[in-house]
Amino acid sequence: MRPLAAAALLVCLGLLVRPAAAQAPSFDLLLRAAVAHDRVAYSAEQLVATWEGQQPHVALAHVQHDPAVGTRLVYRPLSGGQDRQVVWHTADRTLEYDPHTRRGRAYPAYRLQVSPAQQLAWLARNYSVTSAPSHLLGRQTARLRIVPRQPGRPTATVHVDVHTGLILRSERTSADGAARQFSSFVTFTPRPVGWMRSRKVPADLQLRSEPTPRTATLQHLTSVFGQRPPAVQLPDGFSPVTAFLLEDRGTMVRRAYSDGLTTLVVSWRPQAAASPPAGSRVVYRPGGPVWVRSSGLRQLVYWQYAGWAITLVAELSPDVLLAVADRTGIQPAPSTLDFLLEWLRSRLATDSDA
Amino acid sequence: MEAEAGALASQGAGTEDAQAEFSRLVEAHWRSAYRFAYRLTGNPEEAADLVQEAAEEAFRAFSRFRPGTRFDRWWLRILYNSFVDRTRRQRRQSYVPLDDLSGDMRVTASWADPEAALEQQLDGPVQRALDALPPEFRAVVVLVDLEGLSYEDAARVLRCPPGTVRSRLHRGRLALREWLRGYVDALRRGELG
Amino acid sequence: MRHPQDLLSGYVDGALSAHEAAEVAAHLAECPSCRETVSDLRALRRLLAAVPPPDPDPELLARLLQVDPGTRRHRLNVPRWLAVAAATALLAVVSARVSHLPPASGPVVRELREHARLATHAPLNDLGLASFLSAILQEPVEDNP
Repeated sequence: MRPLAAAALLVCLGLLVRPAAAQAPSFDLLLRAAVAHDRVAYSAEQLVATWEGQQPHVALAHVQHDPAVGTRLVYRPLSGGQDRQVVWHTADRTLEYDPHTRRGRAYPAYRLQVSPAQQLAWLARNYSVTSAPSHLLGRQTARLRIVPRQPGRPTATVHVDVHTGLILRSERTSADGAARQFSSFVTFTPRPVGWMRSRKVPADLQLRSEPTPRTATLQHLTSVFGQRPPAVQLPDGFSPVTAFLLEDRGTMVRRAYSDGLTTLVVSWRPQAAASPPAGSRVVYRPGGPVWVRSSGLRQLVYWQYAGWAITLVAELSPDVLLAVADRTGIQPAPSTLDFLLEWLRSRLATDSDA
Repeated sequence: MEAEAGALASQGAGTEDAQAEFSRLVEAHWRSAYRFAYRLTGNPEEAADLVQEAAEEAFRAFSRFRPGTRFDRWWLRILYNSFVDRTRRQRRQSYVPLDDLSGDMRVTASWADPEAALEQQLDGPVQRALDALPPEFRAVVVLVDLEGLSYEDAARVLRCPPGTVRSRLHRGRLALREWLRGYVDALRRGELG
Repeated sequence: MRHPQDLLSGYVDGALSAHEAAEVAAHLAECPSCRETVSDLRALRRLLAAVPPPDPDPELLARLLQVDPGTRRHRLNVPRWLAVAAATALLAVVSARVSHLPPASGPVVRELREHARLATHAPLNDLGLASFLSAILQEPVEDNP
């Protein structure tokens, strides 16, 4: 019964979407999608699924959104036997908590330096977008297919509701097709703006408050750490969306970049204070070792250079990130002989695979 | 939409008739489910989530429901079980032991007219007092004293003997009597005079 | 008879057998403290019966049934309990082959979480998915902020 039900669900989700002939892309629609959340109020049930470490995580979220108040999401995980979580986004901060234990976290909202329109301009440069009309949940939508112009980037498909501009479904697949993120509204009800005004954040929560990161100039960072964080040679098309952020009680630096669709986050820590992430595999590059850890669509790489430990998290293939490490500079491993032996071994293994 | 419901139905998610019947029963009894959930959880958001979850559980188990029997009692039992599962995972103990009838919880009625007090501001103090009861005692008091169920019906919802209902009810009431002492006294004075 | 304890509640509720009720009545005739208790219980019962019922948000019914209350019933959406049943079935198929990576360490979780939070602001990013990634990643046992 179960496999049939699963197939039926896929058929139904497919039945809900009826494609038509392709049309010229509309960046107007993309811009509407980018700002729809500031204009439209709604409540919805949303299915979210991601593959993290080859294990699927699926949840059903009850979403309540009001531009005048914020967004409240209640997640009911369907995989892994986890407890429910509530996430509350308001203008100045976000809460995440377990509604039964009343415990969780609060962190301040990031302020991006870059407008959605600017990021969409980057997207147009880095991706090609085609659009076709379709239907979803009984509503008229446009299905936008976003394909990268360069290797190692993900491909995305979004269904934008023509009437409200909201994204009703989105899907993102890694370059090698192995990793996938998926989210879709299963039910959708528009609401009047202000409908959540009487909604209050519960008063009895025990939240650990995360401090606001401080922005810092390169000069300030150099004086704090005694050395300048090395410039990381990013892939084509990425531009910063935040300033340098001094975080974790001033012990690390972080900065976010975007190519219009995906986000890349770099963090720098003084080498003495950092160690390679557990559960990662080490890859020996000509310059030295790089540690790689996959998490679904996202890859994390870590390496050391010029007295710093650098971590990159991005929705890019490991090859692209390893190339970033190569271009930036990698510190050789301590024991040159061990490194040479490992490197030879890995080269031989690669050759025999080819 | 019909195609979708039909496709799901034919694959064992329930016949169309079963779905329609389930919807009808949910619509008929959702208010009593909400009231019970509200008194158990003490806040509207959690109560709504609990009712939603109980609807999902009930649908999964709907083939075991015998048509013609009381759906509301059956659904309340599922709701109570969901609630118990949640509170088992609760790491923070928030109840006052029933034997500790200290003064913290006492709520005094300071107005002259207990009837007005009854109508206007009773919900808050009573709910706070209920919140302090351990869940199994709270459930009994809610079902019998707020929802008006008989001992037998409450016993069916809570899956325990009617004798247990009576003893839990009694102990729960004694605790509430202390915490709501001001109101109880005001009422008795009204009765007597 | 010793103090009847919870039989007093049964007495107040009229839920005792004739025999039990007679015994309790006999005891009450001679026991002022139990008479006090009975009066208290009656007052409490009246108090609780007078509590106004909580008013549910009509949106809840709409959520339960996926209809607009008060209008002709027509299903534009799949009711949530149906979606959950189907999604759970789908998950059973999808997770047939699960390979386990070693659990993520604290620093890895924090990096991934920060990425999810920052990615929320990408123009086409899905808030539901981004918040899911940020909030449900396994929390390490020693979570030093």
